[in-house]
Amino acid sequence: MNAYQRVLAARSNQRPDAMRYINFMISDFVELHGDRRFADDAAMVAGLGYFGNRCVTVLGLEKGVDTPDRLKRNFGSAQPEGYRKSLWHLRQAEKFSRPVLCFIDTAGAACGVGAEERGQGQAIAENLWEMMGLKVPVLSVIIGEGGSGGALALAAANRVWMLENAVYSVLSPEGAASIIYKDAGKVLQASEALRMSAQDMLSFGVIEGILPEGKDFELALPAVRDAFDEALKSFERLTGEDIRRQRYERFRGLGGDWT
Amino acid sequence: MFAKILIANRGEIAVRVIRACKEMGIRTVAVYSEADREALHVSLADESICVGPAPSALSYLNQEALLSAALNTGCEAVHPGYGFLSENPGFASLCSENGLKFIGPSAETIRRMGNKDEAKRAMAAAGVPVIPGREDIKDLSQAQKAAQEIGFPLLIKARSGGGGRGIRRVKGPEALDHAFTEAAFEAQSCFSDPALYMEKLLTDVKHVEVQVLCDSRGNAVCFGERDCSMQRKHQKILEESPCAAISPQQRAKLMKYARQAVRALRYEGVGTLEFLMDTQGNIYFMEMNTRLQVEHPVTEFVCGIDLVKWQIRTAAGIHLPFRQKDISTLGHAIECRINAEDPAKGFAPGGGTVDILHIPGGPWVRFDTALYQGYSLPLHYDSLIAKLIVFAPTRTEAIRKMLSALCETVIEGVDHTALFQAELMTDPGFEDGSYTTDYLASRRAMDD
Amino acid sequence: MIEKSLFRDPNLRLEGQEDAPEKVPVSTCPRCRKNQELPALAQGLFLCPRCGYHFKINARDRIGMTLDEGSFREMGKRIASKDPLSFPGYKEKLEQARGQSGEHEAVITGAGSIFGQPCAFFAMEYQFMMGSMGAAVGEKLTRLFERALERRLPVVGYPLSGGARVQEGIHSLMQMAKVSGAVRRHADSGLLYIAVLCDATTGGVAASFALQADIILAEPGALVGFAGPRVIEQTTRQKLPEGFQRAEFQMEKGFVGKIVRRREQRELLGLLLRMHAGGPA
Repeated sequence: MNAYQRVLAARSNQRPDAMRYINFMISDFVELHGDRRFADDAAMVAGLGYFGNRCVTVLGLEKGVDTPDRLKRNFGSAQPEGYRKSLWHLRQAEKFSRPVLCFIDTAGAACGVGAEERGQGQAIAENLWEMMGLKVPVLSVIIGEGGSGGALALAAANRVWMLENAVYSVLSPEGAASIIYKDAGKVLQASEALRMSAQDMLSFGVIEGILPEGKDFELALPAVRDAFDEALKSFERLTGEDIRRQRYERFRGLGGDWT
Repeated sequence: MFAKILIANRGEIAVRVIRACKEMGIRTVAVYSEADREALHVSLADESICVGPAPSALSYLNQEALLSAALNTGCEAVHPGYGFLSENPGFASLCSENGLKFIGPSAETIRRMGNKDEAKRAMAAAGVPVIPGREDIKDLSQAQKAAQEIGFPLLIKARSGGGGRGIRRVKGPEALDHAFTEAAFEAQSCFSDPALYMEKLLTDVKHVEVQVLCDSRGNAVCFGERDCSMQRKHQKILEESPCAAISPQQRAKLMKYARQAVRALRYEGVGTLEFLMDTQGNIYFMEMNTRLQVEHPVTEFVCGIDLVKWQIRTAAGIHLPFRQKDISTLGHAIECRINAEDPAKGFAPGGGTVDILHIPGGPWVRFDTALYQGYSLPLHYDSLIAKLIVFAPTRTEAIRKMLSALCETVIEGVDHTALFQAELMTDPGFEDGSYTTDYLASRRAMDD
Repeated sequence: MIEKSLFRDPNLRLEGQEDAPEKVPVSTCPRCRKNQELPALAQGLFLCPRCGYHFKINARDRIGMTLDEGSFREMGKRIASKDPLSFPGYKEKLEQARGQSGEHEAVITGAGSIFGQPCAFFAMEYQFMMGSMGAAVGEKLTRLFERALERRLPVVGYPLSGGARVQEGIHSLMQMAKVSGAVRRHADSGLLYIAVLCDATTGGVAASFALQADIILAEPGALVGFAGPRVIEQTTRQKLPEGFQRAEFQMEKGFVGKIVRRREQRELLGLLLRMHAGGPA
C-alpha cells in the first residue's frame, strides 16, 4: 500500500480500539473518571488494574466502537480535561510506584473554542512535564493514529511501539497538503514527504519496535501484551533514577546529532 | 631613471608618490612643515627635511627652501604632487635651472595652460571647441558687443582673477552694465589688472575630463574620461569613470579633442583636459590641468595602469611601450573624497585626533590616505583626508561596493564626510548618472 | 574591541530584487491603523506611539532591550537544521529564512544578566519560518536548559512560534518531549524559569516549554493558544469571540500569570530574578 493508503488503514474502523486492548490484557480493571477540575472526558480512559501480577496505571485514547460511542468519545480527540485526567493518574502512578501503560489512537487533541478556553496547550505541556519526571516505567503503543501533540501527551515514554500499519505524525497529511502544498488534494505527496509509517519511525529511532497486526488483528493484542511484559521485566532491574534518565536520553537523541 | 626624488607635497599624494618611488627603487626625500612633523609621509620616506613653519606660504610654497632641500639631499628630480607648486611655471623653471628634473610638462606649457586666455587660444587653434567668449574687454561698449555674440546668461571674469573674486554672473542684457562696472572695479583693486573677459555661462553641465599621458617622443595616450560633475562650490566631491551620461559618439569626440590638444601642445607627462558638456550635448574645453590630479586612481582602476609610475618614467625619458589602440577601459570605478568637514555645519572644516581608524578593504577597494590611528590633524592645509576608490564590473555593483565600503569606514575623533557620501550614493540624481554641476546646490536648496 | 555601532548598515536592496517594489519604510499599526516610521519605532521599544500596540520584534532586538548591555554571550550558534526528511522545498525555505532574518535558526540562546542578575536566556525569531520549532531549535533549547542546570542559572525566555516545523515531521514533534525533559530536570533542581509569551505563541511550543515555566508572563495582546484561530474557525465553523486567545483572555481563563508591557519587562524580570536569588530585598 502507498503512504496515504497506510494512513487510511491506520484510521480504519476495523482496528481494535483501546478498550479492546485493555480488556484483553488487564485484569480487574477499575476505570476512574474525572480530572478533579472541570469534567470527565470520555475520549481518555484511565484507571488501574493488574497486568500479569503487577499493578499498573492504564491510560488510553479511545475512538469508540459504534456511532453513539464515537460521538461520546469525540472520536478519540481529548479535551484538556481528558489530559488532566491522565495527569492525575500519572501522579498516582508515581506516588504508588506503578508502571504506566498507554494505548494511543487519536487524530489529535480536540480543537475548539472550549478546548482553548480550558487550556489545551497547557494541558499537553503539563503532561509532558510530568511524564519526563516519572520514576516509574512508562510504556506506550500507537495502535492506530498517533496524531501529533495529542498523541505525544501519552507517548513521552520509556518505550514506544507502533502496530505495523499505524501512523505517527506532527500533522495530518490533509493539514500538510493545505499548508505546504496549498492543495488539499495532494495528500499522497504529503503522506510520502512526512514519512509517517511505523517503518519510518523505527528508522528514525522514534519507536523501539513494530508489532504485527495479522490479517484480522489477531496478532496485535498478544503482540502488545508480550512487548509490554518483556519491557516491564527489563525495567524491574533499574532504579527510579535510571528509569527517568533512560527516558531523558531516549528523547535527547531524537532529531539529529550536532556533536 | 632617477635615483632620488624629492616630493614637494604632503598628505595622501605625498604618500602616493613615495609608494610609487619605493616600487621603482627610487630613494625618496619628504619635506614637511613644522605642523607636519608627525605626518605619515615623513615616516614613509627615506629622508625628510623640515622646510618651514606651518603656513604653506612659508613651507610647501617656499621655493627656495624646497630647492635647497632637493639639492642638499642629492635629488635628481622633484615631484610636485597636485596643488601647491605643481602648476607654478616659476618653480618648474627654478628646478630645471638648477639641474633638477621637474616631474611635469615644461615651464612654458605650464605657463600657457595656466593663463585662461592663452589656453583657450591654443585649444581653439588646435581645433578644440571652447566656451564662446571674448577676451580683453576694456569698456562697456566692447562688453555689449561681446554679449550679443555670446548670448545670455554669461560670466564676466577678471583675467587674473581667482578664488571666486572678480566674477559676475549676468542673467540678461539689463544687468550687463552694472555687472561690468563692478567687475572692472574689483579686478583693478584686487588683482591690479583691470582686464576682463566674458564667457557664456553654462549651467546644468556635466564636467567631464580626459586623462592623458604623453612621452617625449610625442606618443600621446588618452585613458578614458572621468565624470566630475558632483561638486560643492566648485569643489569636486566624487568622481567616476566612465561617465554614465555620454554616448559613445561623445566619448569619441572627447578623446579626439584631447589628442588634438596634447599634440598641438607637444605635451609631456600626465595631464587632464577638462570639458563641459551642456544639455544639448555640446562639448566645450574648460581648462587643462598640467599635473597629476586627485582623482587619478579612478582611471588607474578602469585602465589597469599606475599613472604615477608612468609619470615618473616619462619624465625620466622612457618611452611609452603602448599606443592608444592598446588602451582599453574595463568596468566602472568611483572615487569619494573624504574631507575633514562637518556636513551638518555647512561643511566647516575641522580638526581633531583620529581615535579609531578602520579602513575598508576587500577586492578592488582602495583607500588612499595619510591618516593613522592617533594622528592629530593639522588645521593649516586643505581638508581632504582620504580618498576611497572602488572598482567593479558594472556601475551598479560599483555603487554598492562604494556604499558598503563607506559604511565600513571608521574615522573616530574627526568630523568627516563619509556618511554624506554614503547618502549621495543612494540619491536618485546620482544613481541615474544624470547629475550636473548644479546638482548639489539644488539638492540642498530642496532640503531647506 | 571596535564598537559595532561605529559601522553603519549600507541597507542595500537584495541583489536581484532591485526592481521589486520599494519596501515602504513604514509600518502600519495593526491595531489603530496609523502609519509609523520604522526608524522612529526602533528608537523606542517597537510600540505604536499612538495606541501602545506591541509590534513583533526580532530576537536580537529583544535581547538588546531586555539584557544588560554587553552582557549577552550567545551559545549554540552553529546548530542549524539538517533537513532530516529531505522535505521538498525545505532547503530553499531555510535559505530564504536565513536571508530574511539574518539568523541561522528560529531561536537565539545564551546567557547574560538583567540588572546584574545572571540568567540563561532565549528569544525566538518570528522572521525565521514563523519561529517554528524543528530539531535544531529543540537542540538549542535543550542545551540551554542543560547548561543552565550545570551553572545553576535561572532561565528567562521569550517563546514565540507558529508551532512545530512541518518540514521536519516527527522530529519536530519529538522536540516537545525532549525540551520538556530538560525543563523538568532544571526545575527539579530548584531553579527558576520565567517565560514571557510573545505574539504569537502557538502549537507545539505552547504545548510544551512555553507553558511549563514557574512564572508565565505575557506581552499585551499576544496570541497564545494551541490551535491557531483560523483552524478553530474552520473546524468549528463559528466566529471567535472578541479577544479570543489573546493574553488578556488567557489570564482570565487562568493560564497567564501576569501581562507585562514591554516598557516594564526588564524591571519586572530583574525584580523576579532578585527575589529568587535569595538575599535581602
